[in-house]
Parts: sequence; C-alpha cells; structure tokens
Amino acid sequence: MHGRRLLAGLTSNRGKARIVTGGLYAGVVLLVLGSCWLFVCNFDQLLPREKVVQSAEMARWRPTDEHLKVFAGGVWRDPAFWRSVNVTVVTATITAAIAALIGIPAAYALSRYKVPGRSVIGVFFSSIIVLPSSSIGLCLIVMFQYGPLHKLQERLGLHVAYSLPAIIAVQLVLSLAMGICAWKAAFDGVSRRLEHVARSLGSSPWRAFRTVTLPSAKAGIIAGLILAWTRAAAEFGGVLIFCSMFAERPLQSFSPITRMLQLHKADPLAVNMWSQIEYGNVEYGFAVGFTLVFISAISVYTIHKLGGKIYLR
Amino acid sequence: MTGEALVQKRPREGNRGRIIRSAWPAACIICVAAILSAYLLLIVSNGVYLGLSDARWFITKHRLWVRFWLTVYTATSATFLSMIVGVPVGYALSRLRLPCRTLITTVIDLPVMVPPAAVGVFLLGMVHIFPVKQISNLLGLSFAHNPEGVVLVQFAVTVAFCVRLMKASFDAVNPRFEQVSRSLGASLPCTLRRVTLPLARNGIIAGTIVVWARAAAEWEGLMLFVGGTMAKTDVMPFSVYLDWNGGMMGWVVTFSLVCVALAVVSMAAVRLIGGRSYAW
Amino acid sequence: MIELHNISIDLGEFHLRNIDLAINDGEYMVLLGPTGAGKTVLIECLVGIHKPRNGRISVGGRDVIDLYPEERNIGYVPQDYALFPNMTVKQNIGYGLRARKNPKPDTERKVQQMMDSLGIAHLHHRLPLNLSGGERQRVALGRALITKPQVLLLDEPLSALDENLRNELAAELRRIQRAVGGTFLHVCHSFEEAADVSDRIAIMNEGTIAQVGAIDEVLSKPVGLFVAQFTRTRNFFDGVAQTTEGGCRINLGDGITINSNYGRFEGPVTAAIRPEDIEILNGADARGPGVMIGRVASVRPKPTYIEMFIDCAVPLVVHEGRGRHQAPAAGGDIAVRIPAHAVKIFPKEES
Repeated sequence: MHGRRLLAGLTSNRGKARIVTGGLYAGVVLLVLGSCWLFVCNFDQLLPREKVVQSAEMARWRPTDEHLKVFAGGVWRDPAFWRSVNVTVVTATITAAIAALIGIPAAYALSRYKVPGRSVIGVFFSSIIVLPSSSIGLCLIVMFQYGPLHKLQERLGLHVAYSLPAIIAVQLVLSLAMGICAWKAAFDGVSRRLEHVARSLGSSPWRAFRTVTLPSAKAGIIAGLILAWTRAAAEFGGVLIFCSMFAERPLQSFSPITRMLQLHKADPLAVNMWSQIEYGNVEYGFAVGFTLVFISAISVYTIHKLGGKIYLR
Repeated sequence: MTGEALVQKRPREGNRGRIIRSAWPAACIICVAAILSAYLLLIVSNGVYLGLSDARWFITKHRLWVRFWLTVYTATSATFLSMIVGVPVGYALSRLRLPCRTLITTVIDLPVMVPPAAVGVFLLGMVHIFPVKQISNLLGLSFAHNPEGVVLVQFAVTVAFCVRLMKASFDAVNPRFEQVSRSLGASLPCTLRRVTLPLARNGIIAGTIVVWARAAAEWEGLMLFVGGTMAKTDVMPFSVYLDWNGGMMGWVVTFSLVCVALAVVSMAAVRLIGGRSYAW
Repeated sequence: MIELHNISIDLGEFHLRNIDLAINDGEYMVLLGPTGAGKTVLIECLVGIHKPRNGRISVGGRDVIDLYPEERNIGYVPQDYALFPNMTVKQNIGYGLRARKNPKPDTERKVQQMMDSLGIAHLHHRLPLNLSGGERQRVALGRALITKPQVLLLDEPLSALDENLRNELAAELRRIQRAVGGTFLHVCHSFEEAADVSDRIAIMNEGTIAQVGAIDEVLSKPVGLFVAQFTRTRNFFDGVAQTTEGGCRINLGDGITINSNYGRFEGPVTAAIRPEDIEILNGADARGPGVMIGRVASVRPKPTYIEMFIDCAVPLVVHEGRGRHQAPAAGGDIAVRIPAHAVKIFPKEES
C-alpha cells in the first residue's frame, strides 16, 4: 500500500517535477564540488615537506640558487618567482593597454558603423578565440622568422622573436580578440538614440562618445579590460613557441631596456609553472599554479561583480 | 525665437571644423582595418610560406589524418560528456534560485578562466586520489598516455564553458512558455522535452559546436598530464608543439593551418545556424 | 520656416516618396499616420541621422542636407526621451550649451532659468532613472529648448503614457510651445492627441503625405479615402455618381440614392459620411430629402457619445452626443437624415 502510494507520488506531475528539480540541484552541487575538489585536493603540494625533489636538470640549471632547497611551500621567498611575476604583470599590463588603445575604437566602429562584411568579421574574430595557442605561436614564428616580415625586420635591424616584445605580441593576439568581443557587446548595450540626441545638441562624434557612450558602457569596458589582462597573463602555449624559455636564451638576444629592467631572467608565470614541473620541481610548479588560480579567481569575481559576462576562455 | 537672437553661438561650421569632426570615426575605422589586416597577414603569410604544392603533398599524408581523426574522436567524446553535465546544470543556473549565486558561478567559472596548463597540472594531482582513482579502477580506465586521458583533460576544460553557454541559451527562452505549458497540465519533464528544449535548440546546437571547437583546440593541459605518445595522445594542437620541437617545419605549418581551418569552419557553422556565436 | 522639398529615401522596410512639407515659424505641426508610415524616418532625416536619396531640406533659409546633426541646430526629443543616464538633470539640460563651449557662468544662469520656467528646479541633482514620466518629459524639453533650435522635433512623446497623463502632458506641451513661441513638429499615431495640440496636421501614409491642413479642414474636407478613414469616418458606400445642379446624386444600387453637394462628380465613386453628421429625427419629420427609415440593430454607449448601428436601406453607424435625448432602444424603429453637405465623395481610381 505504501509502496503503491510512493510510486503514484513519484509518477504524478508533482512527483516528476520534484525528481527533475532535485536532479538539477544535485547536478549543480556535483559540479561545484568537482570544481572545488580539482583545486583543493592539490593543497597538500603547498604544505612543507621533508625533502624537495631535485632533478638533475634543476641542479644543472640553477646550481647556485640556494633558495630552491629550502622553499618547500615557501615559494614566495624565491626571488626567481617574483621575477616571474614581474614579467607576467609587466607584459600583461602593456598588452592590455595596447589592446584597449586599439581595440576600443575598433569595437566602437564594429558596433556602430556599417562596416562591410560584418558577419564575416564576426566569424573571424570568434574563431581566433577558439584557435589553439600553439597554432597562434607558430603562425607568429613563421611570420617573423620565415615569412615576408623576416626581410623587413632585417632591414630595420629588429629581431622580434624570442624577446620581450614577442611575449607582448603573442598575448596581444588573443587579448585583442577577446577584448573587442567584450567591448563590442558593451557598446551594443548603449542605445544609439543617446548619441543622436547628443549630436543634435551640438556635440562632435568624439565628444558624444566621450561624454555619453563611454560612461554608459563603463561596466562593460572595465570587464573587457580585466578579461584582456587576465587572458594575457595566462598565455602559455604561444609564448612557449614564439619566445621559448627566457632562462635559456643568451643575454644578447634581449634589448638593453629588457636587460635593465631585469625582465630577461624569468619566464611568464604559466611557462614557469610548466618548466618547473617538467624538470621535476613539482611542488614549486604547483605553487606557481596556485598563484595563477588566485589571480584568475580575483578577475572572475571582479567581472561577476561588475555584471559583465564572461563567455570564452 | 520671440524677441531674442536665434542662437547664442552657432556650432562650428566650415571645412576645418568638419575635418576635425570626422577624426574620431576615421580613427575607429583605421583601427578596425589595422587589426583585421594584421590578423589576415598572420594567417596568409603562413599559407604563403607553406605553398600550395607542399600543402597538397602534406594533406595526403596518413600521418596528418591519424592525428586529425584522433582530434575529432577525442573532441567529440569530450563534448558529449560536457553536454551531459552542461545542459542540466545550465538549465539549473538559468531557472532555479540558488543561494550565494555569485560564489557558485565564480567557482564554476574558475576552470574556464584559469590557464589550461594549470588545469592540466591540477588534474595530474587529482587523478591519483579519491574519488577519481576509485572510479577509474572500477571502470578499468587508465589515464596516462591514453586517449582517455586526452578526453578527461578536454572535458575538464570545457565543462564549465559548456555550462556557461547552455545557461545563456536557456536564458534566451522566455520562462512564460514553460509557465503556460505547466498551467495546461504538462509535467515538468514533458515541458522540458516539448517546449524548452525545442525553443533553445538553436542555442544548444550552436553551443555544442563552440564547445567542440574549444575541445579540439586544447593541448596545454595535455602536455603535463598525458605526455605526447605518438598516435595515442597527440592531438593536432599538441602535434604542432611536438613537431616544432623536432624541427619539422612543413608538418608544423600544415597542422597549424588545419587547426585554423577547423576553428573558422566551426564558427562559420555556428553563425549559419543562427546562434549569436556567443562572442559576437 | 522649415521646408522639405521632394525628399525620398529607402531604408529596409521604410520608404519616403517625394515628401513636400512646409512648416511656418511659431507653428505647432503634428505629423500623423499609422505605424510604418515613415514618420520616424522623416524625423530622423531632419535630425541628420539618415541622408535622403534626393531632395532638399531647408531650415530657416539654410540648406542643411549636407550638414552633420551637430551643425543643424535642430532640437530632438526621441520616443523614450533618451536622457543621459550618467548625468544629473542639471547636467543633462546644460549639455548642449557645454557642447557649444558656452562660458560657464552663462550656462549656469541659463540652466537655472530653464529649470525654473519648467518647474523642475527642485530636481536638479537627480538622475534620470529616479524621475517620473512627466518630469522626464520636462527635462528632455528643457535640454532641447535651451539651445534655441529652429524647430523642435518630438517623436511620439506621449505614446507610452496612460490616458489621463497623456492629456495633462499634451496640454503642457501646448503651453510651453506658446510660451516659447517656437516651432514644434510632433509625431504621433493618435488622432485625438493631434487634435489636442496642433495648429496644423500632416497625415502620412506609406511614405507619402496625404494631406496637410488644420483639424477642421481635414475633418470636413478629407483628401482621399485614407484620410477619411484615419479621421474616423465610418460609413463608406460604393456607388455611381451623376452630376446634378448643386452637386451630384450617388446611386448605391437597389434604387437607393444619396444627394451630396460636396462637388460635381461623375462615374464610380465611394461616398463617406461621418457618424456624427447623421441626424436622428423624431417621428414627425420622417419625410423629406435624405431621410431614411430603419431599425436600430444595436446600441453601444461610450464615455462621451452613444454609438448606434442602424439597419436602413444601407447599414449606418451613427454617433449621438450624450444627454441630448433618451437613447433609442435596440430593436426599435428610427428615422435618420443624411444632410447633403455631410456626404463626402471620393472618385474611384481605375486600376
């Protein structure tokens, strides 16, 4: 009797709704737990250990760096780590600045003006965002080292690949594409009538943009900036191919400015993490990984607070 | 108007004013043109470098197709798994009232924003511990040096992304339709099947393609997690890196261009299906 | 004086064809028409958002068709008022003067004057989203009028409001226009709204202007069937006209004829009669020219008049003001007279 009642309860409309809703909640909980667990289960890598795994490569590579032997969780005491952070922050900031300077006017044009072939351009930009980073890095290498720009470089006396501007170039490719998508969405959200009214009141197009459009789209623009910065800081594959690892390059391949700012001795964070793990210094690598997670978490949270939407990568 | 001068101050006229006035729109268009030509130059110079005859030679090689089909196979499996999780969770995030919404969405979004290399590193740690180890032992799977490992990494990287996209497609369906359907007596599963999913169909299909493209472009997580075993784990983006290390420039450029072609074709398909390609 | 001469434009689904319109200084002109007639497109051409394919627009004697919006000195109040959301009321109103690099103290003084005259000085620090509909309208007007434009364009300013508020704000618009002495061009799709505020109205249909004139003129002498329908003429009959002395006689078939002194017409025509022009007679006068006898099919009381559907030789709709006499009951007999001056004739085009 009870069983039949239960079955009837479950197969009635209300019962079905309850099962489905319960299942949905369970799904959300599982996903959240899974996401958390992905990061939390590796916390033990941050805890101090008796010994640090020291592979032969590490010994050869950094023979005199005493800090490596004692850090075991104190990676924040290692100056090499901070140099790495330095490189990442400097390059990401420069990239974000350049992306904003070129990208915001471009996004405005794509949003407002009747640019021919808008849908093709849209397809093009979105496909850049789903391109593998190795592909991008490789395309850059070919373009600068083997392609038509190679001769141009030689004539100008520049050498772009494997230098600091190279990191910026790689980061710029993806940063710019993501930034433009975010900024275009921000401008799309501002009604055109506001600008028409501003112009009918006597503003030039630039003034209307500056005083009316930009303030109204403020949240979206800042979200796009944060997105561009974070994407630049997280760039790994492209940097690996286009710039390889700085620590292994001879001093001469860096410009005097780079050397003066001490930016040539360390790789960006993501590359650093990979190389440490690859060469066996696993705890160090995990610690750097957690730093990256921390930076990303702050960006994600800020973007959510601003109400912007993150769509890709 | 009545009794006063018509205008206090006439706005600037004349040619000089007009040139200054159109400086901003011109600057915007120049930026777009510069960016587009830079990107096009990037791709075209690669194509030029490879050359048409070389391209034709490479395309026919078995080596390329092995990796291509491996990429397709792993990306499709990962997309399938992602969708199984993504569609329900996306619906839940869209419709249900959840506590501490910001926190939950931040946690779910994290694997999307964290660099995939870091995700791969963390997966490395996660796979040897409960619960994943127990589950994989139960199912008889091994993740190292296997396509299954590739699928796992791709899944980890795309599942949160899939949730985001599905949430966006369900957000685009007016809840009013579901309310009417239920007021007419249809149960919730029936409503979902007959009303919500068909209405969200375009968005879901477009989202699937984007997730697939993202999975097919994933390789950074693989570097540490699975290692590059030939024919078993080197999907195309990964082969680019491996062959680059080996110095085989022709192969590298070919793989790279095939990846570009895959990405463009996927996004064009999304556009044709009519979904906003979620970034544009 | 605003003149549009032979304006044509094609924009997707909206077209304008050979628009000719002249608005006098100090006039309140209403542009009226159904949705899709092209009214907003016309306004936007005047503002400078679209460039017409051909034609000439002159504002105050200046040819403005090649000028940017910021050079035309035309005031624009779009449908949702478009107040700048990031600026206070005070900053919104002063925007035009600041854009023209007006000296600051002068701007402050003028903004204060404008706010005082519109009665919104107490709102000077508020943001647009904290204002009511009426307050927003006043801010939008203040912002547009402070730069003393040649003409003020209002795109459906009252359409989104409920009826009482609409009447109140229509009166307000009228009052402001009189006080400032400016030229207003007001777009709407409601005939009642147009009747409330306008000096002259221009009726648009499918991208062309059907008629321009004062309300009385449009009501009593509509040009074309569309204008008659749009101004609420209800009784339309097809027939054949024959000229008589003093006008014509229209044969509606089955031996039914109506006389009209609207003009001399010959051939197939459509006759139109306004419901309020038909007179209801007491039984004693049930003879004479233009009288028809029939029965009341149904009676519908409306707020300000009574609508009756009458089956005579032809079906008629009659509007009778409330309070004149007792409304006839449905099903009863009734006699009505159609005066000759009330029958408007529109010749049928050979198609």
